[in-house]
Amino acid sequence: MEALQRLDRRWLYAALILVILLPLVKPLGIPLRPRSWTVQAFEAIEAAGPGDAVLLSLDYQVSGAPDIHPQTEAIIRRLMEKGCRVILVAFVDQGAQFAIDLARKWEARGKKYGTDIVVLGFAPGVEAAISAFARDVAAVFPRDVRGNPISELPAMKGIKTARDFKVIGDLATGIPGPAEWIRQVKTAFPEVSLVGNVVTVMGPQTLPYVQSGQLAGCMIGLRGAAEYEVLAKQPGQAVAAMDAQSMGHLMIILYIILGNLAYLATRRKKGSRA
Amino acid sequence: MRKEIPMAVASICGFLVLINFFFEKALPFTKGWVDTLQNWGVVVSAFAMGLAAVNLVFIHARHIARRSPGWYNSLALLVAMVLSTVSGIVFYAAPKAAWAAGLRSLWTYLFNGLLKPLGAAMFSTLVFFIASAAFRSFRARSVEAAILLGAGLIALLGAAPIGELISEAFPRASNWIMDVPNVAGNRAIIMGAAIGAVALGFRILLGIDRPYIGGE
Repeated sequence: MEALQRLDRRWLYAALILVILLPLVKPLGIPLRPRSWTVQAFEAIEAAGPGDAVLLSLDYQVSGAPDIHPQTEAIIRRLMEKGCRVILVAFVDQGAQFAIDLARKWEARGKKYGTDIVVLGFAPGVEAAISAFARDVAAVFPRDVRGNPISELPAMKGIKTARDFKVIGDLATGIPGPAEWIRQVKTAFPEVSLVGNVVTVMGPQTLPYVQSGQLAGCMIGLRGAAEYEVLAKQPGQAVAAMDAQSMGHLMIILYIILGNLAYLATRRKKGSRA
Repeated sequence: MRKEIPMAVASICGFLVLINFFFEKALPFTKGWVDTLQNWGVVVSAFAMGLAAVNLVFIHARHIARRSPGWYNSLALLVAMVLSTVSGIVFYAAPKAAWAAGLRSLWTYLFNGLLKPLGAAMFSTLVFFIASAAFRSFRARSVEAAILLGAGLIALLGAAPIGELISEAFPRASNWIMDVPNVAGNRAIIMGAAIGAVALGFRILLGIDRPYIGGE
């Protein structure tokens, strides 16, 4: 056991890589049961019917994208299937580029830009910008990212304030995140249905807002995306990644157990010497 | 006057936003003023980003001119900054112009071909830190550490689908940890921070704290 204490960490890394890679090559098909907060988020988003406007705020950076972007993909896929109007905005600079790429992707699949999907762009100013946007959308974004006046876009018809969106989803890796949206939007417009979509590390700090009813639901990290895909009956990239995540978790648990056994063995030996 | 005028402006703006938030129905004329103020906030933030970029250029140009240690990092930063700024502006300002096709592809490459994979790689390296920490640092050295360890193990097993495959009890216990002790603890932190924010807000509005003029 003591030899474990001196084990070169590169062996740990190699074993971890191997265990994560295997299910990506040969999926195990471990069943996935959605958690209550994801079910609530799914139901809130499902409330949007054909023609309803849904706002997704892509407040994330590239560094957190592997954990959060599959959520954006899954939600938009479902909304497009239902015929909702998808409006994308960003209060984090890099989020706007993700939005632009998504709009292009859906255009290539036959959806019409300006009617089915719109990208408003990025506004700096964090909470001040979110508040200004919620109170008067056109004042912050008189034109979309392609230079079209938003008053001329069919997707933006009837949208003046945050109140006019059927559902708002904030996809965040930090600040601004659901807490900022609650402060600036949910407090001013209590009737707004706000869903918090966060990276895994933000999950624990976001859940109190679900219990308090300020968030209609919450999706946490890649697993949140996988659960949403299961609920929407559209398994995609997030579900495919879940087996690898499961195996990664198992390895980490194994390392914790082995590390503690080695630690206890060393301590016992030291105790017997004393 | 150099201090008094900014203090007066900050206090008036702050109180105006507060008054509008609490008494919009009684004082509807404040809405237009606050809307304008908030839109100015967005514009000022945009200028602040520009100012930060100019500042960054000055600092790193000085490093390069003086050949300070690691000056080539500053050079790399400036080259990357110029390339992404120019190609990014063209990408947004001239989305269809034929002359700008090369710059647009450069922007797409910089974002999708360079920034995204680099960001993902940085994020992925976390797993190795976690693996190393799990093996070497996450130890039951005391009763408190053992409780934390137990809760962490249950949360880990509950968060991955495999936990449910091992036993139905893992997701149930994990959800309970997330829903009860976690929410209770986080709620206390959120409410404590909110009370602190109210106190800090009043100190700034009354001019006791003045971070916007150098924190004097």
